[in-house]
Amino acid sequence: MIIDFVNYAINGALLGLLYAMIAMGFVVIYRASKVFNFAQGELVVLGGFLQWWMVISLGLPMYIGIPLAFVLAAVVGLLIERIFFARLVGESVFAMVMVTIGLLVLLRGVVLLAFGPQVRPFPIVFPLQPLVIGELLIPTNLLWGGVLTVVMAIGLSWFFNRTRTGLTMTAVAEDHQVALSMGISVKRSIAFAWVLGCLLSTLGAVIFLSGKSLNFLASEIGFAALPVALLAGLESIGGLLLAGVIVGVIQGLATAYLDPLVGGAVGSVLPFVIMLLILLVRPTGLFGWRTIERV
Amino acid sequence: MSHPRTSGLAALAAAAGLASALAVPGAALAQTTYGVALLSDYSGPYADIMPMLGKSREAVLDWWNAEVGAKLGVKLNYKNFDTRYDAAQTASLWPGIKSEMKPIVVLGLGGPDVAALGQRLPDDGVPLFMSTAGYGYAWKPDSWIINPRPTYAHEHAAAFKWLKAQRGGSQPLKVGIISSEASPAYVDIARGIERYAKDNPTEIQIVETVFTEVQPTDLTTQVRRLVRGGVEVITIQTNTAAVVATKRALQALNSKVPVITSSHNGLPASGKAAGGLNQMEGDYEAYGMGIASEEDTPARRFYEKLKADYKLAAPWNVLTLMGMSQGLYTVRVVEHAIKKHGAQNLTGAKVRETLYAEPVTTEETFGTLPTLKFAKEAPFPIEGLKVNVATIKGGNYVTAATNVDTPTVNKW
Amino acid sequence: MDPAGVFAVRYAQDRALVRTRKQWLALALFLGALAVLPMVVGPRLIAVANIMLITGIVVVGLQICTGYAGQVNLGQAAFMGVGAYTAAVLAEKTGLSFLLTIPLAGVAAAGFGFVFGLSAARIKGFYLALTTIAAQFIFHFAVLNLPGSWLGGSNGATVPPATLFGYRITSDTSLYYLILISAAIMVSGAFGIVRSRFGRAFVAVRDDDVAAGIMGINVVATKATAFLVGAFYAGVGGALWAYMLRFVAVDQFTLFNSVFFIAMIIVGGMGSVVGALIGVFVIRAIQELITTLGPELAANFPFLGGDIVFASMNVFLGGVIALFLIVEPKGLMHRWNIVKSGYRLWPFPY
Repeated sequence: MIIDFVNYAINGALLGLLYAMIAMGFVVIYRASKVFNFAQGELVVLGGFLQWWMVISLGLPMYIGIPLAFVLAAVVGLLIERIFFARLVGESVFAMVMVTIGLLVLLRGVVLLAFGPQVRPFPIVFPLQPLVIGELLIPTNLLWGGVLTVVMAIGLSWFFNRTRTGLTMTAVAEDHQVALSMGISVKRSIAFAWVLGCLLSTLGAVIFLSGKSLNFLASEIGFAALPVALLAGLESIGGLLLAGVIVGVIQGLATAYLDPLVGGAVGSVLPFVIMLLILLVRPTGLFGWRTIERV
Repeated sequence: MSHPRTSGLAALAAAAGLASALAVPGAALAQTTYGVALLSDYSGPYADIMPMLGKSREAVLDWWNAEVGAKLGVKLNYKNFDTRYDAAQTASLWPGIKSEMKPIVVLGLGGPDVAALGQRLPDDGVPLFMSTAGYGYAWKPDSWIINPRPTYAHEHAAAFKWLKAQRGGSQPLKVGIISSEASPAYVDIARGIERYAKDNPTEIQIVETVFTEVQPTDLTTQVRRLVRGGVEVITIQTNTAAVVATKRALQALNSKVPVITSSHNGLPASGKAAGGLNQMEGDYEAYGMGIASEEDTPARRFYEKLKADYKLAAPWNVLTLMGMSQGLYTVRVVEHAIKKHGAQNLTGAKVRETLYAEPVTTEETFGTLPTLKFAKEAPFPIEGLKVNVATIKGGNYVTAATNVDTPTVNKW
Repeated sequence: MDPAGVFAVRYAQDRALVRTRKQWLALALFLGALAVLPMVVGPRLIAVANIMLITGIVVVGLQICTGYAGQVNLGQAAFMGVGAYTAAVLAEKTGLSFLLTIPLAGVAAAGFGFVFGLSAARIKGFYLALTTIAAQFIFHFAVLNLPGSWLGGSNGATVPPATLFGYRITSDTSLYYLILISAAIMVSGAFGIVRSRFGRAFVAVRDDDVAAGIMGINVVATKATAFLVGAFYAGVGGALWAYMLRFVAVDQFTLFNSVFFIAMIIVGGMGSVVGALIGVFVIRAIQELITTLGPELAANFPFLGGDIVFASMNVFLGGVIALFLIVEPKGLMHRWNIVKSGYRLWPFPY
């Protein structure tokens, strides 16, 4: 009984770290450009399809195909920035956010056009056999995913808070106009944000889908990862780890214990309720910036 | 020598030939055309099945027009409408379809068609012929929505009965359900099976109903609970992604519990998504239609004919067969209606009346469907329902059982 | 701005929406055209018009909440769903006339919206937009898991047709008139709301809620009211939707629908009721155009294939929305206003 509880908690935490990886895409784009990207789920699907294309459709071996897919994802990020956002520098951030809504619809259409609506198998990147420690069963892809998430979170957090480039991007996230007037290239910052966002979503796709199947409806995970992003606070990368673990553990335990009781998918809706409650207490998330508004 | 006679004979032959040549188009001209509307999904979640399902039902209509309709003096004009699997889109298209085509029958695709048109069809007088299994929420008497298959719950209830008989013993079969709340239709299926279990505790016992997302991240812990609870079969009727995730979980747990799927997420499709048909070794699929296996069946022979003579470019699989079955029972009912009411002045109402009056035999549908005897109590035939079960044996997709009787499932 | 030579001599005249005789004439002609529409166009366009008008009501509500009050609301489809289900349940279980169920549906949705409005007191900006997404998921879960006898659960809810003195409002034309009259009432109400002190409070809170609070506006109440009004409109739209389709299911009110509503106010122009209506019209017209042209294109150019043609629709629509934002972020109304003032000022440049 206890060991089951521990197992659910651990698996839930790892799942939460996967959400944190996907939420990192949201947060990185926000942190470097102040734009909230509604189309993050679609970027995950796009990253997944690029992997499929390289490894399965073109038949490249995995150690060539996967890095190549990452390179392509970065190119896609650059393209998105060039086509849509380069012209909007200086406009209100709200307009940029609404462009991401347009992107949501557009990317879905592009994915359908380029890769078709069929369900595709996804390359088996991580071994299929789970890690077995006594009675504990831990899926390998989630375990590696958790490790990667922690590493990326710590690395990116250090980058944004301690390096010069990262700090200039933080300035962009505070206020575009002020950053421009200080000579910071907002355009370059936005480009970097999108490239990194695409790379992270491709990495998320690899962890999420390894060994399973892919089709365009997988973009739902973008919204499932939303509570983690909001709970952490949209500017905090390090905070994602804690938020991910909290949301994941709650979801894992609820799915295991409450779902059979209620006869419905409580586990999927509970993260949103928790997020709502915590936001009411701390309106900018656990670690988000608490801006002081001046009139 | 006999010049004048042969030339006279030749002239007579020429005249006869000319007369018959003139008469033939004359016979062809006395043709009535009726409209058949095809609701399709080219840009929504089921767009991947349209190249097979859509093309095969069109090929059946072409075949019928050429070989049967021509003799009866009837041509069925068909046209595709993209509904994007969205009830709002279907609702907005329908008045235009009605006025433009004046269809006598509409071939539907799925839930949104039922949702959008269900209430209007009695007033509009056009029956909706579906290809899928019935839905619990559409199970109403005196319906204008027709399903050639019972509900998904019925189909798997029959399969459970067969599996229990295969296993032997009198203990109820322990069943696990993988479902999803993403769509009410999925929840509907789960509720149906739960109701059957409640009414028949000696037949099946549900260990747990697991709800997951449309694209599950990881089902290992949930499946482990099912395996620990002693499941003997796991039923998955949502989509292929759920099947793949469950198979991976079972492989991770080294469990031999078989999975049983439906037609839209059947073994070939799930196998392809999982990376190979051998991944599904020992699993089952069950539904009330013919199985699209490699065996030589009347359905297969008809498919080959459509491929050869009517340019059917779809591969031989369950979705093509589903389209064929939908096209076939539709044209057979229309055929019966023509024989009963004459080729002129057919209406949707008359077609529907004929549906109830005369069964469609399994020979008429080339074995793609069992013999269908419709009744007004439900949108699907409630007696004489049969289910077919397929499995993967030695890496081959073969039929495991045909014509399994369907037990009674009460409305939930 | 007024045309040359027109100036107001009374306060009421100055405040009027319709300012000159010509504008009255134009309005009358427009309303007349709408009234005789069913007799002129085919049944498909009437059905399209029905959906456009219902969406128009919902989006006007969203415009009040998001465009005027600045509270980004991504749960408008969920509020519409609440209204639809309320109307369905009331009509089916109590047999009340549609004259009562539609306003009651609006009230129920407004209540649901009010709860989220209260959270708007604490949560601001993007966080608020994203918590309204939570409304969508909670609505979806609640409908599917509450007992089936309450809301129909996974079975959905069937709705008996609206009846007026025994006449069943089931045909497209009769539904059109019902929806048109409701839309006329709701839209004129919207014009009234935005010109009233509430509307001014909304705009003040949108521009700077701290400053508005300092000036004495009750910011919490204003934000909650904005959500309440927006949700009321969505509820009314939902009830009409229920009477039109006569079958309500939870997958008719998804997050994608909410996103599309926001797209409509962006294209039309935020902060303008007429803009909302224009946005609805433009986007739905493009959707319908593509749906109509699609089969023709696929039939005439078989190498394109149905799946390519229809998938391109998403690309085209998304591209249009993104294009609008890049080229004209303030929406079509802004363009129209520029054209209008250019026309009035001609030959002067400004």
